[in-house]
Amino acid sequence: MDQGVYTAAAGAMAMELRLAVIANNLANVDTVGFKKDHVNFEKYVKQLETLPLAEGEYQRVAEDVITKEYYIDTAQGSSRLTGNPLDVALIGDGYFAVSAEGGERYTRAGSFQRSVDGLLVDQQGNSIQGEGGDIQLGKGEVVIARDGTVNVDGQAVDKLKVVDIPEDKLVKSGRNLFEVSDGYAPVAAENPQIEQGSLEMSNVNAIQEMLGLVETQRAYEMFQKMMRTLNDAYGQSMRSVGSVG
Amino acid sequence: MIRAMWSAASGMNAQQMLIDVMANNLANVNSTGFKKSRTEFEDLFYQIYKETGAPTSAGSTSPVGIEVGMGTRPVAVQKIFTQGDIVQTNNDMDIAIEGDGFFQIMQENNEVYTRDGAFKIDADGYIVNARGDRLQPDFAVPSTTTDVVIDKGGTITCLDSGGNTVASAEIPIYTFTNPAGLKSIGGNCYTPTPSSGDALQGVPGIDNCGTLSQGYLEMSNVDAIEEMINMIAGQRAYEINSKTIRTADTMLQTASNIVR
Repeated sequence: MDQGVYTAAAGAMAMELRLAVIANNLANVDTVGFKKDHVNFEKYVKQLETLPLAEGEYQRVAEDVITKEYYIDTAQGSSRLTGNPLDVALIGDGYFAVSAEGGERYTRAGSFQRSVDGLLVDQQGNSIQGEGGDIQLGKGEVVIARDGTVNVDGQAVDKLKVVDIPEDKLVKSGRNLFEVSDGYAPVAAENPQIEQGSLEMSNVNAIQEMLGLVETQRAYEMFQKMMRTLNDAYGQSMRSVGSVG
Repeated sequence: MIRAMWSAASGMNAQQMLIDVMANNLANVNSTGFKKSRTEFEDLFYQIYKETGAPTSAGSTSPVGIEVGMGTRPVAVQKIFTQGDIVQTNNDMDIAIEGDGFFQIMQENNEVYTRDGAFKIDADGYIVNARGDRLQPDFAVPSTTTDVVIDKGGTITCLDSGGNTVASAEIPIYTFTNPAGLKSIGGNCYTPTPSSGDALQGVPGIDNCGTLSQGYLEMSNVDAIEEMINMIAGQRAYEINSKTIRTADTMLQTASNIVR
C-alpha cells in the first residue's frame, strides 16, 4: 500500500486523540483552577507527506509532529466571587505549593479549607505550603492580603508560597494538581497577586471546544473518505492493470 | 473514542450532582439558619500517551509529552458558613447568632448543633426548637415569668410582672475548627465529625464566638440569583457534555463505515 493510506489512518487516529482531549476539557468546564489542554494538528498531514523518510524508516510515525502542538493552556480562568474567606484566586502567573503524597505539587485551585488541626489544606486534605512550611491557622479569623500574607486575628502567621513554572515544565497529575517535569526547580513568583473570597474557575471556553468537536468530527470523516477513495483506486488498478482492451 | 465518551459521561455526572446540590439550596432559600452547599470538582487521572523527553523519529527528544485526561469528578460538597440575612421578628424567643457559633440541642440523647434560633417554650417551660428538642443546657422558664431578656453575651434573664429576676442562666455557643466538615442531619442541625473536630464551648462575644441577638432570626444564606445562574450554567454544561458523546458516537459510526 502507498503512504497515503497510512497518512489518512494516522490522521484519523490523531482526531481520536483530539476528541479525547476536547472531551476532557468539556468535562472540566466547572473544575476550579482547571487549565485546558490543546492539541493541534494543522501541520500534521503536510509534514508527513513532505518530509523525506529517514534511513530505515518505511512509514512516517505521526507522534513527533503531534507533540510539538501539544500544550497546557495556562490562560487565566474567569474569577468567581464567593465571599468565602478560605477561597483564594491567583491573578496572573503563579501556582500555590501543596504538600501532597509523593512530594510537592502545585495548583491554581484555591478552594482551601481549614483542617481539624487548624492547618490550611486543599479539598483532598493536603496542606498548603507557606514560606515557612505548613500554615497553621488555628481557629481565628483569616485575612489573606493581596501579596499572600496570611493574617489570623490580625497577626501575620505566614505567607502563601507561590511559585512560577513555565508552561512546558508542567505535568498534570490529576486532582487539580500539577507536578514539574525533568526535576525542574520552580522559583518563587515575583509579586504574586492574590484575591481572597474569589475562585479562579476553569479556563475552558465551551464555544471554542464545541467548534473543536465539529472540526474533529468532520476531519475524521474526511480521513475516512480518503481511505475509502484510495482503497477504491487500488481496487480499480488491481482489476484493470493487466487486462487488455 | 470510548475514552472521550467516558470523559463526557463523567462530566454529565458531575453536572447532575451540581444541579442536585443547587436544587437543595434553592428549596431551602427560606429555611431559618440554613447554610448553602457548593459542589467542587477536580480533574481525574491522566493517561500518559507519550512521555516527556521520549525520543522522536527525527532523532531529538520531544519537549513535552501528551497526557490525556479522563474527565472529572465531584471532590467535595462544601457547606458555606457565611452569615445569612438577619431579620427582625420581635419574638422574644427568636435568637440569631451574629458571627461564628452554634447552639447545642439535645436530640434523642445526641448533642447536635444548629444556627436556627427559632426557639419556643414548651409546656414544662423548657426552651425548645421547633421539633421540641431542648436547647442546652436545659433551662426552664418559671411560670411567673412575664418577660424574657437575652443579652448579647448569652445571659438569659426571666423577669416577673414586678420586674424582679426570677431565674437566669447562660446560653453558651459552640464553635468548630472546621465547620465545613460538619455533617448535616436534617432539621437544620449538624453533628461533629472527625474532620470538623470536637465542639468547643464558648461564651458569646468572647474570642471568635458570635454574639446573640434576641428578637432576630438568621435566615438562609442561599442567594437565589447565584443559584439560578448555577442552574443555567449547569444545564448548559450537561448539554455540552452530551454533545461530546454524540460526536464520539458519530465518529465511531464513521470508523465502522470505512469497511463497506
